[in-house]
Order: sequence, then structure tokens, then C-alpha cells
Amino acid sequence: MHASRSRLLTGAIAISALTLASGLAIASTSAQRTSTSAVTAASSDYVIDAVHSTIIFRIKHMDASYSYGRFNKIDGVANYDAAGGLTGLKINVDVDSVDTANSARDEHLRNPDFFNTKQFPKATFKSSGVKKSGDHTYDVTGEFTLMGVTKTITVALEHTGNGKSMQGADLAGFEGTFTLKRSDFGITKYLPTAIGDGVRLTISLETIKQ
Amino acid sequence: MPSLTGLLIGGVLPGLIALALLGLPRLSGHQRIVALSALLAPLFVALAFLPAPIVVNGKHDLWPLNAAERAIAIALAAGALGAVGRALARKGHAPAIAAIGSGAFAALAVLIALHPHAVSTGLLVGVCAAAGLWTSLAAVTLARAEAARPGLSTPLMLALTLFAASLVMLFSAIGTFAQQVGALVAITTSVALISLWKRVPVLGVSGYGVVLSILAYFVVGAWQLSRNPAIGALAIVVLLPVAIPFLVRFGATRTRRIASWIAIMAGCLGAIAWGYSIYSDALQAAPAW
Repeated sequence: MHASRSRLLTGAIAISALTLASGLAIASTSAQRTSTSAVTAASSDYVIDAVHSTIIFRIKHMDASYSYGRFNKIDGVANYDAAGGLTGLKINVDVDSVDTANSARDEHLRNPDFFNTKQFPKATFKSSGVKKSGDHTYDVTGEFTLMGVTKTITVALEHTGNGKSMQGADLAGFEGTFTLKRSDFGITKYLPTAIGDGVRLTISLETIKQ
Repeated sequence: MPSLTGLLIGGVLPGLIALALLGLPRLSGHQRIVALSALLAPLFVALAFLPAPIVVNGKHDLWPLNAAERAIAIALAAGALGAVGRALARKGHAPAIAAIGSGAFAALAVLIALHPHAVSTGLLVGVCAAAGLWTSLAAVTLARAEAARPGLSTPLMLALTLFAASLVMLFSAIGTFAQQVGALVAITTSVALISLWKRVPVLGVSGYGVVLSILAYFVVGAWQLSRNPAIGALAIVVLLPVAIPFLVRFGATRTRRIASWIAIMAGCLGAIAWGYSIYSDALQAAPAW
């Protein structure tokens, strides 16, 4: 009786361990899938031209120098009134596309120590109000979401110009710089001195009429 | 890199707390105090672990948005469930059932954050069930092996496994997980010292259930949240805790005991080497940071 119970227990342990171990191997690919949230625009809107738009950031390293990086995949929509004034802005950033010119560091940034991109693949900005602050400048207030944390921020944007694409489509450009504290979004690894808390972001957007 | 203060509070302090909470009552010699300490062992393990996630993550939220920072909730839930299971131990298999619950909850804490966009319902249910069964059966067999052969072997073999697990987490590029599993190494090493001193089982099914639930959380977390998880090495880490009871029981003679220790060390080194191979591949570029 005791021997048969032991055998039963042994079998159950083996099945359980093998289930978990094989589950680790077999199902790993399913976790590779990430959601995408494409930004759609009405015909009168402008969409962000990812090829000619840039988001770069800088962060202090060891209290000594600034390291720079960028996000390579962005999309979004900009809205303008009849006079060409900016009225709204929505930006989606694929956080997985972080690029600091060092592949090992980029992988670490994508992991749970920093951006945890499996759980939080996107960072977004959605304007809630745009105020003209000068002839070519705007204060754009909106909700910025990173790592599931949403903060209201105001970004000063400069209207850098209007033009035509090679295909004749209307273009409008904006640029702005602002600073965030990464700890506000729960990214606290290597604080306070190894990697600084303040992150200065510069966004340069070219939008193209649809 | 972690600061010295961080290492002391996150890594050494859990071991000292475990040594104090689990060891000091046995100094008293009063049977009632020793019995109460044994009853509360799961809670003591959970309490000893808590400084690690608080220091490593720099926050003490019970259920943060970031699924990688939920170890506090896992430890407290496993400790509470373990204590209830231990209190009801005379009524059947309560400790084993409690361990199923805490192990499943540990996996759920990670997977629910990825469901449904990256994890299907089937995978979520399957992994939670497997994690619960694994936690319970490993805890039961570890406790029985320790009861059959009291002493250093069972907790120290588990400590070695956890050390390997910590390095595998590091090689999966999750330093925060590695540090927290390091706290489990400190706790189980303290348990091993007490076991060596008193030659009695210290943790029991419920205590091992807490340690294994926390480990299950980090294994599932590394597997699902790391961009480049060391899958093979993690699989070895999963298999080792259920292999330890067999190795402990196998070690009846001196020769067999040596063979058992060689086997567990080979398993740990295998996991570390497999994890390192992935890590070194990732580091083909210039050193990070």
C-alpha cells in the first residue's frame, strides 16, 4: 500500500515537473506576440511620417556624462484648424524600438528592470489642449502614458515649417524638448547616481496630410 | 549595479531575519514556543523575504501595475496560506492544498498582466495549474525527505538550486529578479544552519511552499517577461526541486551521499552554464552600461 502510494506520488511529481518544464519551452513563442494599436486618421488629418520623425532622449550616466538613445518606431496623428494651427496631437511609441547603439544594453532596457516591454509595449501621448504661445510656438498639454502610468504633461512645441512632399502632399513640422523623471513612471533601477532620474526628450515630427 | 547597502538589506538581512525568527525559539527549549514557531514558519519565511523586494524595487506597493514587482504580494499570500494550511494540518492535506493555491497565485500574478494581449487563456490556466501542482508536490516531497533524513542536505541542496536560479535570472537580463532570488538563497541557507544545529525539520510543507511559490513567481516572470529568457536553464531550475527529495533519500550511505551532492551540483552548474551561454551571446556587442 505504502509502495503504491509512493509510486503514485512519484508519477504525479514527474508529470507536474514535466508539464511545467515543457510548458516553458512550448509556449514561449506565444509570449512573443504583442499588441499593436494603429493610429487611424480622418482624411483631413495629418499622420506622423515615421521616416522623417525622431524621438531622442538623453540621460546622465554615473553623474559624469550624458548617454543618448532613440525610439525608432513611432506613429500618430496631428490635427490642424483651417488656418493651419495645431489643435491636437497623438503619438504612439513602440518602446521595443529603443536604440542606444548597444544591443546588449537595449535588451536590458526592454526587460523588466526597465521598460518591461512584454507587459507595456507602447508609450503614448494624447493631447487634451493646445494653446498658442507665440507666432510659431504652442504649449501642448496632454496625457503621457509609460509603463501603465499616466501623467499630465505640457510640451512646448515649435512649428518648424510647412512644405510639400516629393509626391505633392502637404507637410507640417514640429519640434520640442521636455524633461521627465523616470521614477515617476516606476523605472527606478540604478537610481540615483548610476543612471540619472531626469530624462530629456526631444521630439521632432514631420506630419503628412492624408 | 546594486549598492552595498542594497546588498546588505536586500540580501543579508533576509537571512538574518530567518535565522532569528526560525532559530531563536528553538533556543528557549520550551515545547510550546517551538511548536508556535513551527506553526508560524511560513509567515516567518515571508517576513524574512520582504526586505528584498522593498529594497530592490524601491517601493512597497502590494499590487503594482508592473507585474515584475509583485513579489511582496506573492510572499504575503503564500505566507498566510501556508500558516492556515499548517494550522489545519491535522485535517488531511491542508498544507499541500495551500501550496497549490499559493503556487498558482504566483504564476497568475505574472500572467494576468499579459492576458489576453500576449498570453492566451489556455496558457494562463495551464501554467497556473502546473505551477500550483509543482509547488505543492515539490514542497510535500522536500518536507518528507527532510523528515526522513533531518539535517543539512535538503535545505542546502535547495539553497544551491536557488543560487543557480539567481544566476539564471541574471543571465536572462533581469537583475532585480536575481537579487530577490538571492534573498531566498540567504533564507534557505539560514534554514540549513538551523537544520544542521538541531537535526529537525524546520520549514515543513508550508514553509517550503512559501519558498517555492516565490521561486515559481520569478521563474514564470523570467520566462514571460524577459526578452531573451534562458528557457533551458529555467527548465532545469524547475526540475531540480523535485529531484532533491530523491537525491536526499538516495544518499543513505557515504558513497551514495557523495553521488547525490555531485548530481545536484551538476544540475546547478548545467543550469548556470546554459543560462550563461545565452547571456554571452547577448553580450557580443560592447559591454552594456
